Amino acid sequence: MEKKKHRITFHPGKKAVLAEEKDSILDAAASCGIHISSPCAGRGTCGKCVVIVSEGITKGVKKGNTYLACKTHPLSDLSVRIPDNSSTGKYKILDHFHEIKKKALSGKNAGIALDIGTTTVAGFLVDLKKKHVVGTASAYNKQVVHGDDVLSRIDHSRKHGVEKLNRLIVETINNVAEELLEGRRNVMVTDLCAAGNTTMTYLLLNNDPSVIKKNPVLDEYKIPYTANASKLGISACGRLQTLPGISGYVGGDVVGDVLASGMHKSNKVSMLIDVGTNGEIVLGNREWLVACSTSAGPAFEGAGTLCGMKASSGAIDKISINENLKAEYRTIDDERPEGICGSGLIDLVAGLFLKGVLDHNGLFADKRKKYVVVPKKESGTGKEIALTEKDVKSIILSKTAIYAGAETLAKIGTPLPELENIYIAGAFGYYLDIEKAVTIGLLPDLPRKRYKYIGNGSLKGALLYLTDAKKRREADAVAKKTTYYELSGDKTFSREFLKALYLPHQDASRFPLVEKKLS
Amino acid sequence: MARPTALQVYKHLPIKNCGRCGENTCMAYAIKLAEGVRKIDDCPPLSDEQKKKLIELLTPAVRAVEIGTGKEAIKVGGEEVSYRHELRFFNQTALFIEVSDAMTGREVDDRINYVKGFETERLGHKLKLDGIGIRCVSRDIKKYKDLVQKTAKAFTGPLILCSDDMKAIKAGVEIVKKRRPLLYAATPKNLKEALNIAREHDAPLALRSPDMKELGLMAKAASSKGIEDIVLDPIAGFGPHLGETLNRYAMLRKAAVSGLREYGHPLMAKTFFMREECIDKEKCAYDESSLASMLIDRFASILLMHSIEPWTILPILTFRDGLYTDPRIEPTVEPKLYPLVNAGKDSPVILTTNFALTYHSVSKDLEGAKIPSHLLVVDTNGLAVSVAVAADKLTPQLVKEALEKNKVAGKVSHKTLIIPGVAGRLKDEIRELTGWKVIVGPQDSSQLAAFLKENHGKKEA
Repeated sequence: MEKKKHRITFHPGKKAVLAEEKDSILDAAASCGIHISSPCAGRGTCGKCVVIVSEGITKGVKKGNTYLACKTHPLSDLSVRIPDNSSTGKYKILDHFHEIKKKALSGKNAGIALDIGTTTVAGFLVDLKKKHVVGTASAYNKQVVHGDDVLSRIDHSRKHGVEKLNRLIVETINNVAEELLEGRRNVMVTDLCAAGNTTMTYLLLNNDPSVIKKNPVLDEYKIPYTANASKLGISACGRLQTLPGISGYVGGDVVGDVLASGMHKSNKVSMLIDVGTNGEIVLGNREWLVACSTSAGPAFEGAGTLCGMKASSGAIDKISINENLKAEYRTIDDERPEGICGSGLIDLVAGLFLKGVLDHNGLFADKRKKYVVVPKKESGTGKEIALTEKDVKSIILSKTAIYAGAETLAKIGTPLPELENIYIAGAFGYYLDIEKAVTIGLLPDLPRKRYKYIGNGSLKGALLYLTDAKKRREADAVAKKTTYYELSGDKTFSREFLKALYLPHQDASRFPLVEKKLS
Repeated sequence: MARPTALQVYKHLPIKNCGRCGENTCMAYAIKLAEGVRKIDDCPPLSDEQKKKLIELLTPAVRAVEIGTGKEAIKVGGEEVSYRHELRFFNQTALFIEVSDAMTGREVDDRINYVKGFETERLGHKLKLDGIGIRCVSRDIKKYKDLVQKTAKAFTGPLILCSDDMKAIKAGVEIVKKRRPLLYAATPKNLKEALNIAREHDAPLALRSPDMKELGLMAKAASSKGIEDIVLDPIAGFGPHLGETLNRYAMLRKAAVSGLREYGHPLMAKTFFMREECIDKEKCAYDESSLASMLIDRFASILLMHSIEPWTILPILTFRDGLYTDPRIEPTVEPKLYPLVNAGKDSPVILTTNFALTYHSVSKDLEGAKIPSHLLVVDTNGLAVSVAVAADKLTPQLVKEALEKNKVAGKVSHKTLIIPGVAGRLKDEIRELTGWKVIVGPQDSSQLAAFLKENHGKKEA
């Protein structure tokens, strides 16, 4: 008997697709290119993929008036509305590259530098002769429908094969390339260079990434790979190079960060922190480098907190607390507020802590249940936006993972106060308010002028790798000589972790400037 | 002295990143060297100058002392920390059993044979007694010499010569001078003489005093004569003296770890007292056993004991074994197929992981119930079953590889695999991947016997 197919129509957009009863609404949406935010990759645990079924019969998990798309299946033709906060929206990415103007190419040949992020893919179109950037573009990594973090991607490829995820990332790259080449005629892309974490690099090269989970320390991660781009299905005929990585969890993107920071050429010891779901930290100088990866969790990316959301339109990205303990905020694109993104959450916790609303343990000093940032009537979702102690706890866990990682690497022999520079990398890093981040104990309390933003170092590193043979050799050397420091199971790390689970830290003397502000 | 950081160690390395030590980079090696996981000798390109600097840098807070020579030698001390979770403990407490010249010849023989023959096993470790302490009680040098002679002939392991009379020690050490016995003990009164004997025979020397300051001064005097193989005995007491005793041992280790070099020596204790007064022998043995355990916990590196009752010795050995294993490494067993209780072609195949405690409980339960079976142990890097399932270290792929590698299909006449209850969710995946029939067993291996009787037995019948 032929399986009965139901027609699902998605709103807004009126895109329709045929699906069987065994397909979830999330699967159906993915199959026609509609992205519903699903941080847990359809396990039904995060509750973020809510949709409204306006017509038709379903079988599935209800959440109020809405359904979880990943756990809901069609029993008849459906009409499904995707609320704004479930659609992944337009990302606020690469803002700091806006200064790069679209320029003309000096010849017919061009190169493309790519940052293959777990969430977004960003690219530069490069004039290979003049060695400068002539255009930028970015797109959402199409793999996100299969989970927000690298582990979900690895699991997915193990269960369903590498090809599917490989095809998705190639499609994403093709979209970026298309946008880069828009309006340019007869341009031939001869060289591509991609920097990504090890999982992304493997998926791009159609290599099985499950080896990463099994063994995070292998020589094969340190190899700079070269492939034929068109053979991978990329709509360019040149060769594709990938930046070498350091370990299974510290990839070519971090080597790109190091390359962009120049810390590998200084005599003095510096630290580089790439703040993201996985915080990567590198410590060292021209002689030696040590890197670790610390699992910060998704709180800074908008998941794991009730009021959190991604840094997209309508997200609160800046907050200050005024004299009356009320929140004053700014939203991305000046839309009505729908949630708070990572930088906003850090602002909020820092502000509430300095005003005494939150205590050292991250609990409300006056025993209130929540702190309302945006009341119901002002919010764009019709629901109030509030911070609970549980949210604070999840932010503290995230910041602690990164700070404890930094402190553990410092134990190798360079105490944090002796660091020359601290480079903050990653797209999120660019929006990070250092002062606030120090206040909550995410970053060490050092003279602020030692902090340097490098923005999307991964993309900058890919650009250098593409255009400069000397930098290429440097990057290969960095990958080879950097020592990977495994934090899981490390006694120093667990000790530092426990000490750092406070605002800003159990040991107040490590945050002298914050203490001064409190008194 | 605080332990050196990886960077301090790194500065004395050749920085060739040659990989000959087995690490990818010199920094990786430096980190492990600072943690005490690797040894200085693992780095071939190290120059003599660098080596000297590194040895100086890495000399542990508590120096290591060797007693005995060659294969029979034991090492005590070499410790870095007061609390095991800060790093690990390295050289386990050595247990010496006393014989004395006041004992009958028969008693001495029995005790020597007891030490020689004592061996028991725990989690795959062999637990043994380490040596014999030969005591001069009679004050008769000739009698003592005979005892030393007799003991040294019957027992080739490490020895302690015990007397506060340096004439007896001197007579004894001349008989066993090639064996590097520990001389026990120098006191402020006989220090000069003791130091001379120790130096002449290159023998380790114990210093004995209840006064910390005096111990320090004695150790300094020994150092100034070039004698570094020193053991400190702050004198243990029981009953009303117990609190003070434990305090003294703890303070000495604390002083060593804080960098006071004169206290950076292994500690020892004699755990029995004036046996003549000891009317209730059982109570004495009990007291000795508890004191010995407490002193192992309080950093004693050598114990000289009297009691040889199994019920006093076994708990001490078990405690010592647990305390001195490296807490950073999961105890593991070799992953392979273990045939238990004359397993044959029809016997069931049971899956478990290579965490030592898991393996030993499952195998003991099967052996205890006398069930012929094949225990298939897969390599999960020492994770127990439930942890391994959660961490994705116990995978159907791994099971498949283990079945193939151990050629299990050729060793049994059936294709049925029993997996642990907590790994139940892997059932279908294992079946699909391996083609074996998979039965989910009980959650706890203690129920295996009953489970097998019900399931496997039925099939055979």
